[in-house]
Amino acid sequence: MSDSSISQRFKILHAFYFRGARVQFWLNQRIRPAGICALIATSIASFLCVGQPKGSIFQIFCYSLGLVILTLLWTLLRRAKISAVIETPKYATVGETLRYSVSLNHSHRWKKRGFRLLQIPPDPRPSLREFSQIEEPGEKSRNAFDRTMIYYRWRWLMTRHSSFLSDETEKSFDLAPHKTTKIPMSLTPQQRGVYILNNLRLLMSDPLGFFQKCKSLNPSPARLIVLPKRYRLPHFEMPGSSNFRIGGEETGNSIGNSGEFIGIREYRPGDSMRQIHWKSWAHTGKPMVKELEDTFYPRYALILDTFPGSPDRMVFEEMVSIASSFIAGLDRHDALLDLMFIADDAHTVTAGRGLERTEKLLEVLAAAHIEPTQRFDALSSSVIQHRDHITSSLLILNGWDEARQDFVRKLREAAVPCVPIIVGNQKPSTPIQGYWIDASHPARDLMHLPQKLAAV
Amino acid sequence: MTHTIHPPPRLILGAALLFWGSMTGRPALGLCLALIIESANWIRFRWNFTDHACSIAWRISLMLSLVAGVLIWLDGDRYTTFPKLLTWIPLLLLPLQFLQSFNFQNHLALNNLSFFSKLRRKRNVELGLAPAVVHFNFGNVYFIATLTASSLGIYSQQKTFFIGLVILTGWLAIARVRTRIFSVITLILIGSLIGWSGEVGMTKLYRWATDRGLGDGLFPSIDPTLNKTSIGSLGDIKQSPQILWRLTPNNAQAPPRLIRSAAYNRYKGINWRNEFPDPTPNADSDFKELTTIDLTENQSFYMLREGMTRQDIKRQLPEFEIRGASGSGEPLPIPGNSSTLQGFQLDGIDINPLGTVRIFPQKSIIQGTVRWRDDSEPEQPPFPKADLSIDEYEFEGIHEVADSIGLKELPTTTAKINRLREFFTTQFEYSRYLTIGRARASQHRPTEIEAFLTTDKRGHCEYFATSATLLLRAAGVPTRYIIGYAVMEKNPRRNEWIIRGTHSHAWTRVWDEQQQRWIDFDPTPGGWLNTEIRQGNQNSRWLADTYQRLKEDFFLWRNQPTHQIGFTWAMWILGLGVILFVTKRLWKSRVAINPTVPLNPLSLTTPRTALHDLEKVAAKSLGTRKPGETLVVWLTKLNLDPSSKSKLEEACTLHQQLRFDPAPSVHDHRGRLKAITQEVIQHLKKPSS
Repeated sequence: MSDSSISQRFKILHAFYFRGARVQFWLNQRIRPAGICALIATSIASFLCVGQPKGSIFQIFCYSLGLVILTLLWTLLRRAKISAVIETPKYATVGETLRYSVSLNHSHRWKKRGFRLLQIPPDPRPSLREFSQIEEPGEKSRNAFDRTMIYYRWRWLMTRHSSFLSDETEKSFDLAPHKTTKIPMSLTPQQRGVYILNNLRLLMSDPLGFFQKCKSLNPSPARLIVLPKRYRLPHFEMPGSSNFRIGGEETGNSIGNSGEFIGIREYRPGDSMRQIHWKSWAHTGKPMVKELEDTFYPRYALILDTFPGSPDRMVFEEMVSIASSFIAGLDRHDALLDLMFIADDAHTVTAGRGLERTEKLLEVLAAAHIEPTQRFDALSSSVIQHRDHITSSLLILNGWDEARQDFVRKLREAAVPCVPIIVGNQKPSTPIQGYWIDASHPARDLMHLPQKLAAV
Repeated sequence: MTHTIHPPPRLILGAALLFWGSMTGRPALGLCLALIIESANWIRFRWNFTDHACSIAWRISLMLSLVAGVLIWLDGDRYTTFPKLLTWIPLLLLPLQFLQSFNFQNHLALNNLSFFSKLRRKRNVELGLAPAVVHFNFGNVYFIATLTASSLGIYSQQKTFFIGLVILTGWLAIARVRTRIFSVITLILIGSLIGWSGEVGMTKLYRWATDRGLGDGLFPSIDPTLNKTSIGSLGDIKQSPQILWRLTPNNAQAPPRLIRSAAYNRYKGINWRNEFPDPTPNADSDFKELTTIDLTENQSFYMLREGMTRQDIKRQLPEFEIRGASGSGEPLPIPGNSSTLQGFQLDGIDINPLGTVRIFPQKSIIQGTVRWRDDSEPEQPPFPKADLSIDEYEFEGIHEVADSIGLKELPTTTAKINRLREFFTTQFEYSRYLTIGRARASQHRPTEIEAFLTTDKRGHCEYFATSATLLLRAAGVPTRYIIGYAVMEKNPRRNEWIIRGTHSHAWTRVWDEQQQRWIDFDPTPGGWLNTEIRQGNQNSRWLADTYQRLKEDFFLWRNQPTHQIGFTWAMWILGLGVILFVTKRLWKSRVAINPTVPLNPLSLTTPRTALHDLEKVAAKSLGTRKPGETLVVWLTKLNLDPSSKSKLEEACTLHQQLRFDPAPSVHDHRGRLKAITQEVIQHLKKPSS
């Protein structure tokens, strides 16, 4: 849907809210609660000045106005020469508060007082397309005025798009001259992804705490990987059996042997050097190797649909969270796990059995994004290419349109056992093959999955 | 971005409430409120107030505000209801502040104060959306509200108000910002200087603006010392059709045609003022309290003239009952030849030399009887200098007009009055639409009055009255300028005369040398009455009149002594019932907070416990305890059976607890330790041990 097809009402409202949010953000950063109280008191006093022209009213008006002007001037005159370095852990998880620190180096010769720090999240304002197409849950039950102005939709989208919640430092701190001070901070990620933390602001308030100057510190960017949110899953079993798929040492990179020891035999070309039994070679004069029982374990594929589907970006976010939940769930099984998706090219990342830790898969998922075009052919080719190694596959699909139905059909025809998990806002009217997960209530629907997931 | 929620510092709300009590003349109430709020610092229980409780407290506050607003409104006029209501804000918001002070949490949700916001929040929760709650500490709002209410108090004009304001806000700021005390104090001091100088400047500006006729506030009130006329204003004159007074004659005699509110004798610029032979430092000194005579126990008469006796009261004079709203210190409209006043509930009443009667009513609506048509007048005889003076800017023009109509040549005052009446009636036209602008300060000619008399010849009553007053002075007749009301609208069904704002009028009081008394002369052409009567929509006026009548009648009924006692009792019983009900509910749901028991004071000598009694017995088997070896470690060397050993371990624990735990020792612990120690001693003393 192009922007030209969006109605004029949405364009006007979006432009108004978009600019309004900017002004509000600017004011929020510069006026503190005490300042709001002072401004309210001044306004009340000014009204009373008109209605009740008394000396005491004039006094309270002039006094509050005087303090407001003084603090405003004080704030404008504040200066600081400070450099900052953000020190964060590598990983964070959506919804869990992350504590990190910022080292501040104050290069002025005097001690400065009354600072606070604030990490500014990326701009959460929704695009015109999102604003015009995504409806707030229960919006139809709102009154006509709300439905016309759709301000609540805007508020709701702003909340949803918020990358992380970051409070200013609780207490103001002072900075000694030519010293480095470490300030603890915290943030709570709201969405997964790879964050570059570099929008750090130094808040310099006046002594009364009415207003504050907001200075950008431009620290060197700190990279933070926010792993997707994960839901609790019931105990589940994937279809297929590991007996039919040969795993073994060639699939692992762990040092040491696995499997039961059977005996010693003569070396045959192709045997691993690690299997040579040196004592027997010395004893017999021929190269001898240890013979071990081959090990079998399942190998699952988790296929993430990264193609455009629902216009609601949160559906894709929920898909990623669901994929993460399954990765965490499958990690408990003694299995290999392939994460397959398209991001420019077809990617397959394998974890388990000592190859990679599941954090690697979560890290990959943290950076997953929606592709501009649908390329199910490439994805199906990639899956079919690996079908001999795959016990079964889990498809996380963004809706149930014809392209996705064709994709599932192709996999089925290629004898790839697959369990489609279809995520969306509204259950399609056409019968679906797989399990439906409502993007608004994924935790609830995931708990309703059967113990044995059925392949199509 | 969220901010940390700070409650106001300890005791500051109590101090603010005491300040409020002293500024509004309610010290006892202020003290009670302060004790209630600050008792949270000493009472050791709290409540788990939910959002629902917050909503209820808010509703109670709204309900109290509504009731208080209605009562205040019934007691006064619509202009002062809101400011008066604001002075009660600390009491009205007490439920919410109580909830904040005694709640476990230090914040309230702002959504609870709005019905629609609460609904939205509930809806969001049901739909699984973020509720978007804004939390705040109500104590900060309460603090600001208390200071605002204090500024409207009756004693807020004293210097103590501003000092208190600065101290309280400075206290709040210093308590909040602990690290930058010097900067905070500097800002507060500079701010207070701005506040003080700003108040002086704004007061002067306000006076200048009102003197220039740019505005007189919003409220119609009559200043007995200064009358700012509409002379020089342009456009239509707007007057309220609201009923101000109601006159009911007590006999067949109709009330006077003119009743006056105030008299002035000095015209300068566009304003009329008072000028007396012996100037006083302030206007209040010009007023003299009226004497009273008690004819019977409940019949007290205010005497408007000096030297009146009981005989004067007993004379048969026409009288009428007057009823209406009046502010404190406002003039009472009475006829120019009034004799006595009776039946008014007043805190004070006085009169100035020009006969302006000022009253200080006990209630906002007053009712009383006026006896009139006396032989002489309340005001003093003419002051030659003031009552004949013409301002220098008006002098030439007035004398020219007086000469042109031959006023000076006429022999008697009556003839001069008649000539003037004829002059105005034949050549002038009454108009509410004013077209004569202000004369610029640098161009005094022609003045507004001169323009009226020579060129425009149309204007409203102030032009006629001022012109007549000055022209008669030019002809050597002492005159005064009078403002008041024309009594011209009768309600025959109720046999009462109604005085509205549109009946406001101005005329001239002329000294009749022959009769040696003051007489009223209304120079305005008679057609003005018809112009006033045509004003406004009759239906809406009827509704407004009925509503006002009901309000006044109810007010007077309620304030009758017997009804007032009943009403007060009913309010007390209702209030106490509500308080008892709320207290009972609160008492049941209280939760004790963890008692913070006072710690044992730091002592350089460790206390001796019962375990030390064991030392002497144990020394017999263990030998003397080494220096530095603790008693507990030393006693563990005792060779005891398992049961005694466990008892000794328990005794050692109690011993350590009693000696080193900063929490106060429990009496049971001492008893228990003593008992165990005795058992161990008995065991050690046994021959088998």
